[in-house]
Amino acid sequence: MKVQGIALSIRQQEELVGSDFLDEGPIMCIHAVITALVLTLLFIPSQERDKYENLHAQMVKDIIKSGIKDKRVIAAMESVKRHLFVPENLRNVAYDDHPLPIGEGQTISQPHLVAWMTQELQLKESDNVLEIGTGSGYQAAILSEIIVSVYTIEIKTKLADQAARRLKKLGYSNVQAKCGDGYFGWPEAAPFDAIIITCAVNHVPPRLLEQLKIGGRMILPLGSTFYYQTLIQVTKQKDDIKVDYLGVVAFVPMTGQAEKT
Amino acid sequence: MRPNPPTPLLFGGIFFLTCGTLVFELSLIRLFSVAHWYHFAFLVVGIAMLGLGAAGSFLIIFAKWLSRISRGYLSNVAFFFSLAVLASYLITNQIPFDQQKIAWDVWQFAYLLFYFFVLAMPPFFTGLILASLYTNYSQQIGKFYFYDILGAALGSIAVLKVSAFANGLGGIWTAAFCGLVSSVLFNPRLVHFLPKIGILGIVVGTAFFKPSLFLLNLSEYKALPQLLRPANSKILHTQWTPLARLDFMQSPIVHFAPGLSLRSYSSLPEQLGVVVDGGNLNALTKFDGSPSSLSFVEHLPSALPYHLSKISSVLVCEPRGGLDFLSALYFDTFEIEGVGIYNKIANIAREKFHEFSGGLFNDFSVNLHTMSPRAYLKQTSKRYDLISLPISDSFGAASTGIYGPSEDYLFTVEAFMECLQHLSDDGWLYVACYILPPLRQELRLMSLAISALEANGRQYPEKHLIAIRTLETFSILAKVRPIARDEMTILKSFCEERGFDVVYHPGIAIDDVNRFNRFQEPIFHKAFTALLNDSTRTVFLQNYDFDVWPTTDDRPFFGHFFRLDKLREEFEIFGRKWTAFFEGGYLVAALFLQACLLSLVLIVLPLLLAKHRTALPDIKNAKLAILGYFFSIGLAYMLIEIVFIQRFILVLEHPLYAASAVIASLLMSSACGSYVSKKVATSSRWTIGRHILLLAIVVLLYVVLISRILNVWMGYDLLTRYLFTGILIAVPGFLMGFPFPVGIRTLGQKQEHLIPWAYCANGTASVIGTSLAVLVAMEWGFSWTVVMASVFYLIAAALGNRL
Repeated sequence: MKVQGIALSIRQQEELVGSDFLDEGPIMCIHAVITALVLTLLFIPSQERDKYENLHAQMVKDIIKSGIKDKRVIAAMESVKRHLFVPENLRNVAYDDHPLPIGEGQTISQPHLVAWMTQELQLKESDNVLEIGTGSGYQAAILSEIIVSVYTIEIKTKLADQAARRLKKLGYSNVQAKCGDGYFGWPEAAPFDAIIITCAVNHVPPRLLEQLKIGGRMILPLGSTFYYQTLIQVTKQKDDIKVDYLGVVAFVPMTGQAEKT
Repeated sequence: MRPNPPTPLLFGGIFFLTCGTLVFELSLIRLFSVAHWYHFAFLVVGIAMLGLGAAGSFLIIFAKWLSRISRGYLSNVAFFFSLAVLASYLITNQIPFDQQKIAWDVWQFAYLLFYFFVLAMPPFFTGLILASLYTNYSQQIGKFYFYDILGAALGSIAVLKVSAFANGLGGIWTAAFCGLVSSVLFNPRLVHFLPKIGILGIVVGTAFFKPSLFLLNLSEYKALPQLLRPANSKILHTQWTPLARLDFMQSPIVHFAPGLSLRSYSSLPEQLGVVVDGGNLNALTKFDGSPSSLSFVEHLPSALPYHLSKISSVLVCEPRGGLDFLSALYFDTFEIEGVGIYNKIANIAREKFHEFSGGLFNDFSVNLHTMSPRAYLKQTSKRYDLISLPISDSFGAASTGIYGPSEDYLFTVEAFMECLQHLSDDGWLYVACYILPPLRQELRLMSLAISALEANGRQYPEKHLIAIRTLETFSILAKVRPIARDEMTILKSFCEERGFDVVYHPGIAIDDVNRFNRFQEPIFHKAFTALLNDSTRTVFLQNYDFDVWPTTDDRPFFGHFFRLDKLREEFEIFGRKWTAFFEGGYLVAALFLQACLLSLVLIVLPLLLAKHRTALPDIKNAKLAILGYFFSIGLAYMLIEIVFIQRFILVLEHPLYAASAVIASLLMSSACGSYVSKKVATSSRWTIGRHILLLAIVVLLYVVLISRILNVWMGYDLLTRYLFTGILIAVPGFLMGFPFPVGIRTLGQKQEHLIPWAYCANGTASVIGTSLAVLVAMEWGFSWTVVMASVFYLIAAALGNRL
């Protein structure tokens, strides 16, 4: 079943989000939306649309081929247009299986990794999930397609604002986004059924462990090395905590503000 | 036109110029290690040194500049050096380069090229002066070369004293000042040098009134900026030392307790972060003086030996923030000792954070020795119930980052043997590392422990070992006696209570492994079973995708795991990400390739563009001999210098001290060799070829003798070791001072205009030699690196008589 995230058609999404990486203006009113939609249909060459559609379809095929089996995850990967979450100059490579820069020294993760981490969370539709590291909002959008309630935190103000606006424009009303330090979680919305950290950390943040429900899962790239970490899943049980090592990944570390000393 | 006879002031100018150049380059490595990472520093400064060779290349192409050696010209170039030092630091500090972003931002390559260009300017100006003088005074080269390398020798010592001042910028200011002094000495007329002093004074004044312009910018991906993220975090104390920058800081996200059980995660007391070089995190833990307040240590893997035996005496190697001391206090250990060369953290904690640390480092029960653990163990006859080695840093983290991948003499077979010899009958050696699959560090630790036990006469090492792992760490415990049955029972319950996994104990069953922190396969158990089995060990080590053979004093690169014959497999394992290779020290390979490429350009370009190239075809064969000769002696010199530095760390305790002592001793003795080279080399019975042949033999003799000599020296006090080092290095150093000046002198008699080209070949070979030395040492060990140096000297000997 679809949740709120897919309220608008794909083409509407495409047009609505437009060049969000460049345009920081106010939300369009509905008339503007309709006008833009009509103009888009008139002037965007169908070849251009097909290009993204073909690339997107190929990306989903590749994801399935790589071993992703969860149908809900595959459906989410099919419906969320990745090219709407990357800067305009990189849209041609938006569906390639590698990370892309989104500004502020951060990246959008490679599609296969997003699908893999989402699958490993073993989500139920009713789950309440916290994401640390909103970035462009792509992972939050994928989660939004699968579950009822998504909370996402981004430390970089500019990215947080852009992502919140983009998610809202695209109709992902079940996503709550805020700017803040994900290390401390979102206590007001806790406990969570699952927590996903999308930036490298060198230990399991204790506050996040506290905000996880009994039976909840947390997935994170552990190890603050330059170029790769171990993806682990922590499962909180009543009297115990189990850890599963899932594989080697490469994430950008959680960053702070550039320091002058 | 013949130049005027050289004056003492001219020699003084050269001395200060080369001194400033060395101070600048070594300081840059230090600063870039803090702002970025050590291997980046190594790469950038290595390439920048090509500026010296580029000057030679420039002078061949623009030959008319060679005759410009008036006092005013030399003075101006030296002043440009001074300005370039300051400008290159200021510009590179503002360029938004971050090596982390290379993986996704192509602009970073452009920034990197700009870095190279800007940083090459100061050495370029130095090279311009030296190559011009060598060409014009080729028959007095010995004296010139003497002051050149004497200045460099002083610079290598001076950097130890000056680099810690002015927020770490002492070296930059000193280098600029040396350039100014050099400029004044070249042309000491008031009217010439007053404006220069005025200009530099304005820069100094700007730095004084607007210090933020000069402050070092750190990469936002380093630990320090990350820890400063929360609003209520702040730096409490910063100290620059010649070895590192230390920051003590308060931040709610400081969390340093390697392997702490997730079941007791909230029990960690408040900690102050101790960040070394902006990157490596350690911590001071809040302690109220009562051991009972330290219950969290019960949930650390390092508590295991205290559960297995009654520990009355413990030796903590490199105690850093003192976490292992807290464990010892909690478990009521009678005698607690620490030994390390990084005790500055303890000193600062004692002076500035006495109350926070509960007087831990002032406590009479903690006895701290400031020296290397290897040297201490060599000098003491004491035995301990527990010897704890520091948790191995993440891959390739160098202590100073001066010369590439880290050499760690605490993680070699010889070091482990030394530790085992200092254990009481029931004593434990405890060593740990962070887990970061694919398995490499863990396996190397195990193969080290096995080799050391075997070398200590234990026929069945598998009976003396225990291994456990937590979420993030892997630990090995080794003892001299076989592990007892009751110890295995304690081990199991210890791990069960904390959610730790037993990886190995004698007789372990596969059902007992991989229970709490689960891999899809019991990969640890499988690998260790193969390693511990005498019949499968060699095959396993030969076939494993990474190099996990035990490291030795001859090849002490614990963090180097890549195998040349398995690069394709390794590339696949890392998800086809080439950047992973940087962590294993293969950035040095990148430097090597880049240096080769740029050197080729610098050497070939003059042949294509030189105005007098019409004369060159007549001396085609001679050209090759010139190139081969100067290139070979440049390579050989650097191979030996780097090997000596890396080898002498063992006896001089720290890479920076070793680098300074070796460079200073080698250069000073070479300077003396250069000074007397004219007398010896003009002797009718003594040819350049014979001399270099003798040098090659002496160098080879050192390969045979050096291990034995160093092993004996470790038992002496530090001053004696320094003295012996100086003498030992001076012998080959003296002989190594001959080939360059003799070659230049010979060239000056026949083809003077090619001297800058020879200078270029020699300079570029020095940069290539630096990275080649590290690469060869990592792959085949120090001995083979020296053998390679001898081969290059033999080639030079063969070519010497054809100059």
